[in-house]
Amino acid sequence: MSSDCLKMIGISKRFPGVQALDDVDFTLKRGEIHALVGENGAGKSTLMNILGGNVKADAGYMELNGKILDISCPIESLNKGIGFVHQESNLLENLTVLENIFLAREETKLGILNHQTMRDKIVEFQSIYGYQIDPDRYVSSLSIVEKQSVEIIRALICDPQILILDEPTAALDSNETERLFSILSQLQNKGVAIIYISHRIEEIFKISQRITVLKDGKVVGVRKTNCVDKDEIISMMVGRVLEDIYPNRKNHLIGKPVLSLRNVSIHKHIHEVSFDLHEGEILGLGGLEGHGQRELLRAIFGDIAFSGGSLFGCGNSYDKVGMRKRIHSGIGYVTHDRRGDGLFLNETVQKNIAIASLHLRNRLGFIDTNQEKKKVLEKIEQMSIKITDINQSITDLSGGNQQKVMLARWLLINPYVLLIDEPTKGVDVGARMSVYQIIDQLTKEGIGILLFTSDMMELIGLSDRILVFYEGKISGELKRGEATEEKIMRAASGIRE
Amino acid sequence: MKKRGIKIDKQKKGVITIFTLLSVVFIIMCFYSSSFRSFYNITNLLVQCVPLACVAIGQTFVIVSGGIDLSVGSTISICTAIASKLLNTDSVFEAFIGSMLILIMGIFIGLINGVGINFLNVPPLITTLCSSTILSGLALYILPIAGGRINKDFARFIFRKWTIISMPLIILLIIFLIMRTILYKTSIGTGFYAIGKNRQIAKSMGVNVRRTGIIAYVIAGFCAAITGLLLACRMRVGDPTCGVPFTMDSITASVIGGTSMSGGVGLLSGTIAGAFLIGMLSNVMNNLAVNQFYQYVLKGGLLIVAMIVYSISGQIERKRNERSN
Repeated sequence: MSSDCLKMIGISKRFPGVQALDDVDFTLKRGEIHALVGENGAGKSTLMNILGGNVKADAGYMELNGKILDISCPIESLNKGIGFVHQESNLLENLTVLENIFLAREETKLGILNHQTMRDKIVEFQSIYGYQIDPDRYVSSLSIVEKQSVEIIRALICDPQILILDEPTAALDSNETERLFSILSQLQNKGVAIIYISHRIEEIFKISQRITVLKDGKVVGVRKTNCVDKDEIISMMVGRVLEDIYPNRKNHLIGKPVLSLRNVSIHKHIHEVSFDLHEGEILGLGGLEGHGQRELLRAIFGDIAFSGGSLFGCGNSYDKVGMRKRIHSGIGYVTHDRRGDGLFLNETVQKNIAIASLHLRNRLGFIDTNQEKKKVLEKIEQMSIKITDINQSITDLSGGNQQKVMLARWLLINPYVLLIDEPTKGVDVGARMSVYQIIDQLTKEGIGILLFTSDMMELIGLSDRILVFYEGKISGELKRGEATEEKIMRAASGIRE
Repeated sequence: MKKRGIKIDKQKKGVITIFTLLSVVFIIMCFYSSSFRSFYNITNLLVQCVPLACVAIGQTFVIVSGGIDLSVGSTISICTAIASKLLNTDSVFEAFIGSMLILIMGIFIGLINGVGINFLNVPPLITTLCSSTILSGLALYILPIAGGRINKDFARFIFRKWTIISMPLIILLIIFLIMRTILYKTSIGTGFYAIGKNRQIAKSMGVNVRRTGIIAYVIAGFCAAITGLLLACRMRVGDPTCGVPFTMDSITASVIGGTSMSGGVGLLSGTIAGAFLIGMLSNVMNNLAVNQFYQYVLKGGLLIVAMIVYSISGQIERKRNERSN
């Protein structure tokens, strides 16, 4: 019935350390809703960012209505009729709704802004689609739902042929979601082609006509929605076997609780969550990214505040204890953003390892450097970190060795709880195995480990127990042996068993 | 009634507060000191404030777009130094051409700052501090001590007075109206606010961040050059160090007027009010024979107090927003 309006052929993109997209083909027909699904890091966002002009592809080409499409910046993509609603709010809070909607393509008369025309356009648009937001309000005063509406209006106001929606319903309740769907079907009837990215399998089956599944930067398959069922899509998304790179923990003994959370909440991220972490246990926080797991780790570390509930460690309350005291008491946090807030990139290996445990070697305000060197060398030996010199710059090390440096840093504080966020991000396979062995060894010494990773295999391979998070709540608890990728995926998509 | 601009509503309250403060200080001083309330002093006071108000307008553009310009003081100095050479002529026409050249030089200085910051990615603080040092050195090279001469008729024309209205006030009004139009009524004006808040998002929404960033510095350079010309015409000589206090004062005026040092927030009317408040306070202190040293202390203190007040009120507003959502 309808022809292809967009073709993306042979798209490849490499980021440092990862092949984000590998020879991906994607086609879109006029007037269809085409769902794009896959796990975190499968390449969905990268593919859409190439179409949206935020990222440039290494190889491949795009065609729009049979003509070669060449996009070098976001506004060009918008002008060619491609509207993009981002997953995270991509608005400027200090500007008004009107200014955000028309930013960089304002209506002007002789160079002077024509606010009235712009305001009229927005009002007209809102009356068609049933939005009610005062164009002169500041974005900082809007709720999350309203902000998202503004993004949709920005994408739609110049009649796009293609609309990209990246997780549009993540912040919406069911009424808002319904309204969005009715708008989408209105657009669909007008012939707009919609690319819909979502983790909510149920939604995809409700509104889409076709589904493209991506995994590890490759297209696994394209299916017509009415010829396929949910389980098939999930197994296409996941479909891997556990390799033998993980330590064998079947006979591992777990002790008494060391860290207890009781009804803790974090504003906008976590709602009333309770669980215990035991001595020598690896407790995995599962689920898709952005459902509160990362915030939970940071809050336990003391970096952000709990808005309710209590945290106990070894029987002591941590409620009025700041980050510094928590570190001194033995809580360590290995960040996911090694280069951003983990390592001191302009410093040496020794300094990077020693930084968190300076309080242990403090002699009347001076640092006992001999002892520091001894301790650092001890850890380097123990963890077989490959260096040429202890005063070597940290940037000379490979990703795997940098990750070990981060672990060594926190081991020097003599932790009883270690919070690890993405233990092997940007780390090659060989180094991954030795990181896993180190983690395994730590639990044998009785350290409790709370782990968050977006790599499903790693989560299952390492964890003794997995708590799956969905929208800030625990949506499933799985023990070692019973956890499969399908089960986790179901819980993580909010599908009730 | 149609709303004229959008920005006007937002921090109107803040600007009204500053204007109220301004009038309160003014009225108290009028009661307190007879020499202050003299007609001569008041007209003089208005004229005195114009150079600072003018350079502060330029500074506001830069701060709103997320930068800072520490070179405006030296730009003013070098402009007076060059003016004392170029405007040292008997022909008013030549003096006029000379002053145009000085304005072009101001724009050029802004352009260099802007290119350094936006294309070579040198932080604004470093770029403008370096250009400031270079310019003050050049100013002293051109004119080692205060001297030279400004065409008398030209200077008299620039400082012409009609009872309370004077030429500098008219110049300030014209500049204010032009700059106001640029900031509130053109797409580039919205761009200043956009890149000041978040360069990355602004870029992803299609704003030409580099061009916008450069224009802010060009405007600052232009405004500083006008201030330099005004000062030269007032003194009738050039002075290679007269611009020094203007860097700090222009920043203080912007901040008092409600411009956020972290960028993306600020109004020109607030800056003008801030500049007049600073100008009036120095006039008052001279009137009360307060030692010059204490005036420095007070100016520094004023900047800190203003920052604290805005930071606290900002936090309150954020909390209120969070609660209402």
